[in-house]
Amino acid sequence: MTNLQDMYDIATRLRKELITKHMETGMAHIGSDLSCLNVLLTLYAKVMGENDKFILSKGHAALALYSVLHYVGILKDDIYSTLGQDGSLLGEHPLYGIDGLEFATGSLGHGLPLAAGMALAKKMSSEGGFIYVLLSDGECQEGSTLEAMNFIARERLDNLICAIDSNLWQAYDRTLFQIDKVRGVFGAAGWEDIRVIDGRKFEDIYNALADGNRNGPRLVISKSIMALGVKSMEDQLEWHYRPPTREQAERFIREIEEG
Amino acid sequence: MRNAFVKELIEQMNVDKNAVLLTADVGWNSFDHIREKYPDRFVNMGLSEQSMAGVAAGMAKMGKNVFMYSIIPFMLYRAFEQIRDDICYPDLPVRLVGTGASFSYGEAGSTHQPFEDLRIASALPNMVVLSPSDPREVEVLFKRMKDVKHPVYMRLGRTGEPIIHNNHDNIVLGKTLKLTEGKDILIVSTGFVTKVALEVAKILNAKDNVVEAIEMHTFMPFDYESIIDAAEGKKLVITVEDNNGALEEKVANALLKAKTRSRFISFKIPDQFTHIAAKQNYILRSYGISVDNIIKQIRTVMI
Ligand SMILES: [Mg+2]
Repeated sequence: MTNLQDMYDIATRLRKELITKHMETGMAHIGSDLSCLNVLLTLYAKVMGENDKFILSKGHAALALYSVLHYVGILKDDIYSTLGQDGSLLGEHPLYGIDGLEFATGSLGHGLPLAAGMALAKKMSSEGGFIYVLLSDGECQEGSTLEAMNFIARERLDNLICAIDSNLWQAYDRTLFQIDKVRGVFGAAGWEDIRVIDGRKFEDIYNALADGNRNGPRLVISKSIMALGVKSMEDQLEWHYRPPTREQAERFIREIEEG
Repeated sequence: MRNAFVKELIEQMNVDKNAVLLTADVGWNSFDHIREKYPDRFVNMGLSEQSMAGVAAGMAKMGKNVFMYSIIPFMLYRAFEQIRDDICYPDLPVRLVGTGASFSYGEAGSTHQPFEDLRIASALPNMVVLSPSDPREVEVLFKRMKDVKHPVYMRLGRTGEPIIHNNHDNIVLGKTLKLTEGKDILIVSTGFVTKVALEVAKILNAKDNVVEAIEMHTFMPFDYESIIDAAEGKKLVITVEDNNGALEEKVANALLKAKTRSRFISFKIPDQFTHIAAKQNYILRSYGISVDNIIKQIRTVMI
């Protein structure tokens, strides 16, 4: 299992890899990838075990997930190398049936109900393990997210951990569900175990996701920022859309290397 | 039809520990027995149709045999994208059972009158669409459903539909059901208006076998071949449905490939909201879906 201190180096490597992949493929959402990469890496490298499952509700961060799945060896080279090619099984949003992915996501608001169903099924069958789901802060606005939020609280699904990548942007505006609102709304729905953590710190992320004390479902609000980890890209909405040019990619990678 | 479904579901839940019922706050009285007997496998999702579809998909993915239930427009229309992305794309064997087909909630008003559900459900890849005509068919199709490894949408009426099928044996999921033999006229129907089609056939067949009546209880996958075969040698082909042309389109499509050129008349719901509250029969009659009118139209063409 990867050492927590080593995760910073691995994440740095994956950030550079992601910038290159986005530049090469012309795919969008580099900003979303970078904002949630640390959570994804922590989940797959440190937290999740054999009986656990994960749903990427913010499917537009697929490349970040692919890079992590590749790093941990679930996604093999022969598939990972097809990214961006016509006919590839790796979409800008996940297709169904890729190893390590439970559902095809990309339309927002689907992940939390899916996770709720998986968690409920596990409880009905008295199966161990946890269901992890990662939402964007924007998709808290979707009605289906709010429906599932209420349902999960009512059913007290203590085998479900919902992380929210709070990067303060949705697709065309500042996100409507800022941290206080997320906390307030989920709290009012009956979620008692709500933690706000620093999405830059692997220690924080790990402790919040892996803590074994359970009292109902857990909400982990990861304070992040669009394009986290590349200072000159951070908090700019254009990185929800634009892939970096070759020149920009080289500059951003240099920036990462210089720390 | 609803009672037949509930009876079958109870039997299924008795023997299948993986069977789970999700409902979106619908089924008071009907599901009380299930709720009491299997509180752990009965889940009232509340007024949450979209997340019900997602939860159903998540549970099916984990191996549960999920039945989800609501009134058709709320279940199928409101949650359409969840059904598409989360159930149909992964091809998960979730059973979507909708009540109140067509105008069986006619008095409840236009929001409760789903007369477009056949086309909407049929638009989805992998979806098996069942449109039974009577409680006996609900019973048989329900039992056979366990062999279907795809999502299934089953639409139910709720106006105490009479039994029109004498026996179970020839009702086979996936196959067209022949109701009468006849040489000149082909009547194709689906859903509970099959009762009307069958009466028309019986009246016209009183002296001589002129009408062949066939029923598409399995609407999808649509059995085009049997329509093409049945149309051979017929002078007139008729469709009878409680939807706005779903059956008409499919049969017309089949006829383009048939050897015989026959006249074609469709009895269907027009592309408009009723804008009235009324009993099912009143609405169907007003659109010409009645035994008298169909016979009258046939006589006009066949003279
Ligand atoms: Mg966001």
